[in-house]
Amino acid sequence: MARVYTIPSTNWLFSAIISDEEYNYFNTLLSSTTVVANYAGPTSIGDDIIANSSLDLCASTVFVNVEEYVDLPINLVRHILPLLNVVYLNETSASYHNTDYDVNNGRKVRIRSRYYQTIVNLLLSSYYLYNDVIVSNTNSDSPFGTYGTRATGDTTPNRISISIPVITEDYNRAMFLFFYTASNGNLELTKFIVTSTDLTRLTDYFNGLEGIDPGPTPSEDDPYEPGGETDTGGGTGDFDNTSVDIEIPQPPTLTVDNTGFISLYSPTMVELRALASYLWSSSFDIDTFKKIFSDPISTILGLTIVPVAPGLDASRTVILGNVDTGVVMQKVSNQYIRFDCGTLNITEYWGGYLDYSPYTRAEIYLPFIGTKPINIDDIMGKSVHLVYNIDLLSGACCAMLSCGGTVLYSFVGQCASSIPITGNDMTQVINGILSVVGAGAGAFVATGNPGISAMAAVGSLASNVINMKSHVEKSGSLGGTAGMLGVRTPYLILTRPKQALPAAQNIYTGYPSYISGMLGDFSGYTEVQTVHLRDTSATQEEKAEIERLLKEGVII
Amino acid sequence: MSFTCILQVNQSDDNKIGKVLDTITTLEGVLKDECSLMTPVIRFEYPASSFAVANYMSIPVFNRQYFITDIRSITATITEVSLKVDVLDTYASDILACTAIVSRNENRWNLYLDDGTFKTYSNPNILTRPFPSGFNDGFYFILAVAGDQ
Repeated sequence: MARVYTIPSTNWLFSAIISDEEYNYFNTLLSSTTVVANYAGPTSIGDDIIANSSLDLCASTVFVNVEEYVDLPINLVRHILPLLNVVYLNETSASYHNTDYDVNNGRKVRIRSRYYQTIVNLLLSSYYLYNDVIVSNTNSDSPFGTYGTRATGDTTPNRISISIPVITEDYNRAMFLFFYTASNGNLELTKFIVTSTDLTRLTDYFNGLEGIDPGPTPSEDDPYEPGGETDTGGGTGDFDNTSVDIEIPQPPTLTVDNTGFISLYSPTMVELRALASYLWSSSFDIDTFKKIFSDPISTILGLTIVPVAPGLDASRTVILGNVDTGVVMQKVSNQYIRFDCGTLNITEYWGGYLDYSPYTRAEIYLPFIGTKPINIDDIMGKSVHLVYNIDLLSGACCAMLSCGGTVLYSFVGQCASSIPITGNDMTQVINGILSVVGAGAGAFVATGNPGISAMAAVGSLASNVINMKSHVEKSGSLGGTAGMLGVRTPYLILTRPKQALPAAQNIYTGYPSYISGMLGDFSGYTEVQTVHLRDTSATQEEKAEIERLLKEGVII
Repeated sequence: MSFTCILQVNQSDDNKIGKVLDTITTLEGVLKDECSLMTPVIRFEYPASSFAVANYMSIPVFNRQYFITDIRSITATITEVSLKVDVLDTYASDILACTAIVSRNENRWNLYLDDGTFKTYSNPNILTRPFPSGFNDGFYFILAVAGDQ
């Protein structure tokens, strides 16, 4: 990477490191043989170049044997010198050796170098040219100082001065490199010449790099870089608000009646007594019965009380196992029954945020299940339809709440009360009831903000009032017999806040709007969140005042 | 240099854009040295009683309207009036032509937006809404027996 530093208050750029790519680029660039001018001097080592007022310049090929130079900054040697199209002076001759100099064609100048000593100082001087003629020495412009053209006898500086030419509108500069040998004080002249076009290219390139110091690369210095960096995103949602209703299902059609193993009857009290009498009478054919069952009572699988009228088939005599009891009962037509509790339309009270959670709460009392919390947001503004699907054999019930056509809640319970027939039955029934009684009857469940002490500080804001309230469960599980003892009509319980609203509050404080538009389209009390104040002659201070007042609230 | 000042009474709220102003009189005043046009101090060769009922002033040459913040009697016939620019009325047309996101408004609102300043009482209403039908039609026996007819 090229590191380019701008010298303050000048247009000089100093490039210390140049990449191979750049080297190749400039090498190609500067291999041009476009003639700018002819070089006519100096004729001998140590001559003052300035005296040569007619200076022909031309681009020349580059040939540098960098290994001949030691103790020079290797980057400089390897990169700058080739960039600068260094040519060599043949030190063996008192005059420069223009082997390839052709006045009429080519203008290619090649000067071989001489390597004398171990220490060679590279000096640079630049000259202002106008119309390709040297007009002045630019010693004062070089940021590192330039050495005089007459090196013989002069003190050898211990620094290297390099300047890169820049183009101004009226003139350009040519660069000359002088190798100054410390041992004998003789001036080794090298020459670097570029065309004006090349100067422009160089300048543009380095100007483009001005001040660029890339610093550490993220992958090398930032430990978090492998985790990726931020980027734009979002806004790719499909805005699909479609919904498919989930309907209340019908009860199953495959019942125990289909199996032939179990029959369900819906007896009256009289019919039940008749059956009981038959079982304990002498007319019961115990011998026939004993071929299949060990105990007659085991043929009676269950006797329950249910709160819904079952569907009925034609009456028939009850067969216990394979024994005809002669007792006639109506047969239940379907093991499963659907009980429709009807529909409620829940409408908004305010038509605003107070109708929804957390400000308004909802619960539902379900017979044979208990009181369950539901989300007011699910039922507000919708038709709420409640249906029980009941299994008459087991007594299990499933209460489904459809909100706006979709079943959103399902609760399970037990709606049959079992009538014990044997001693074991009785024990099971009682134990079942006791277990239900022990579970969560009227439990206090503390919810909301435990920071009760904050209540006095924040007053009666609607949100704080709700958050301070504790939620109390209104019932435990009400299945089976317990359910028969409770309320048997389902109902919704809505807890709705009471507004504390002064008269004409909207005049004093307005209500939430969050609408954008021209302020002139609004009226009355107005608070602004963000405003674009433009096309006004107000001063900065006045604009700030306007914005402050708009945000505090104005009356339009 | 004296200039014309319109002495007025502002009948409206200070934060109203488009105030109802009653003009009392027109006076010539001079600007006190080295004061801001935002909070100028104008000297009038009128007694303080001339400003007794005024609380507002328009100065056309400044292209601004001002609240009167202070009235000081310098002499029996010279009064100094301190003013503060009323930016809302001065730039009323500019302001009304601006676009903005309005957070609260008296007439254009959306009540579904949570109003953080709304208050409620601590004793909410408890409402019950029964469903049309319940399990109130009596009870029925279900006898399950082994075997089929």
